[in-house]
Amino acid sequence: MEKANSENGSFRDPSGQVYLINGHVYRSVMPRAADDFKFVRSTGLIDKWIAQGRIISETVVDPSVLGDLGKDASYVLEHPRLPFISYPYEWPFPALKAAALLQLDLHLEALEHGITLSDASAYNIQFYGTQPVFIDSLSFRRYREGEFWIGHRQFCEQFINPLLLRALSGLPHNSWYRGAFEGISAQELRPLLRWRHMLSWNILTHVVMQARFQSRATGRSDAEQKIKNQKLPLVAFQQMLRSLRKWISKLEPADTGKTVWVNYAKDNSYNSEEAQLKRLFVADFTEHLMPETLWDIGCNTGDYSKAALEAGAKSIIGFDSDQGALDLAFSRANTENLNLLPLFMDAANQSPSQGWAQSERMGLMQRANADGVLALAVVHHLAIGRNIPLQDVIAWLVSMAPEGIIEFVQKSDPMVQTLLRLREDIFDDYSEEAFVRHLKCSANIIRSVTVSATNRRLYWFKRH
Amino acid sequence: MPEIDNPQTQRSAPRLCSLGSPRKNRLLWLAIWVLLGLFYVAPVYAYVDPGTGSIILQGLLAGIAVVITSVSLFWQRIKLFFSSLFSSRKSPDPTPEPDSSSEE
Repeated sequence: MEKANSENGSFRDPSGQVYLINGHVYRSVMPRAADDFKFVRSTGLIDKWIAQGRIISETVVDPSVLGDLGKDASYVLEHPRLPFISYPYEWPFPALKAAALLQLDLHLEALEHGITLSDASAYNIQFYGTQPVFIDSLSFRRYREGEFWIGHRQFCEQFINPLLLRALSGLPHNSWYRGAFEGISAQELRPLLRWRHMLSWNILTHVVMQARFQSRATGRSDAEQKIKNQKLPLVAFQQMLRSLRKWISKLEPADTGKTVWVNYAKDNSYNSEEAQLKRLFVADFTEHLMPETLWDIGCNTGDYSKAALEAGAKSIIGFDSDQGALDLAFSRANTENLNLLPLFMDAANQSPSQGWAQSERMGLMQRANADGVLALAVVHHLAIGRNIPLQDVIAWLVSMAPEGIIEFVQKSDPMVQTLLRLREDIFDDYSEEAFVRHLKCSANIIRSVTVSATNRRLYWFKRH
Repeated sequence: MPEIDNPQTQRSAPRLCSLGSPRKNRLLWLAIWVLLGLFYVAPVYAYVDPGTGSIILQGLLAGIAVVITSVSLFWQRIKLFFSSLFSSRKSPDPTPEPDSSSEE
């Protein structure tokens, strides 16, 4: 029996825990949370949100499914298993923004029914394609008249401040968030602000003043006394959430200019006929495999993800390191209703296992559950751009999924020549012959096709 | 109702608190605060640390909200006062009716 703390750090909340048993996801509801659980469900709000797809569905099951673990639980729920667990430090800006808005919308609606949220963790939100879904239904509990917004600090650290980083200075939140996975505190963000930023009432209060109050209160016992007898009227609570919602919905990245890959799909070294050949090959592969989940490594703006979805793939997780491309892929998936979740990843430095005991948040490869992988125009970036040995790059890609497509780009290709322009060519092992030899070590080659005049070639592999 | 029509009454007394003598008022407010203090429980329902900075900020925002509400209530009372003053000149009032009509 496997205890799935690592799924969402659920051990932090004593209201209940999440367990993964034989592929089923269960959540215990402990006696301390049983009253709130009953009250919240009696309002019908959870059922309404489940029907709207805004919160993960749940079924009450017999506690015996958890064996000994379930004997103290008041209830045990079963949730459907998500196709993929992603973390806020992997989300591009528009995903973090969508998650923040969902959190606020649910909270506002909950307050109208006498319900509030016990926290504001970004890890309580996951994605189906680009649609955020709330996964921790035990965070909802009865609202008590006059109580403060307990999750306010967490909301600022896990949503507002990371969004502000990019909205104010064009700096993506991902690397910082990954290093400090509880988020970015107001005190950390404060020194980065300029005077003009403080003209915003929201920045002035939620960042500047909060940071100041926090610094001044540290080590002083009278601060607790001062606030002990204060109440936050419900209307003020709601007004705060509403004004945050209005503000966040208007936040956009400051660096809306060109980034490295945004125009790649248009300006790359093969013409549209060659791109069409690639799409056809991807479609053939997808129709054969009919995958539940595909991983698209180096997804760019989602061109080939789209081809795979149209050919029958159920869902795609795309990875790229370019923020501009990810923003475009996200908004494209959203407007064209594609079941594609574009995520930030530096392929040479993937998300590690981290958090408490290095098991709270899973590393990327621990979450590898794809039926197929697409790695188009990726290998040369790792093998030549990042000096990763060719055989290691191939072994890594093959380890991701039982079948996939890997593109080999010749050393003479203009893109590779660009990578080599300012440096010595130390890549004697980089050749198509070596590529095929290494690939055959761990997989069979089903088919291959040349797609460009520069002899770019796609290889469809099936792992041994 | 007649009090509103009379500017004298408006000026002289904070009507909202006029439940008795000033001394009684003070005692009443003291009692209310003591009761609030007794029954109010500080927010301890959290497994997440709300953060002192956040709570002080929310206290401040709550204070601002209260001030805004009070100001808007006060403003509404002023508006009501002037509108009633205005309407009292227009609307027929049993006693001053002959005077006002003659003024117009």
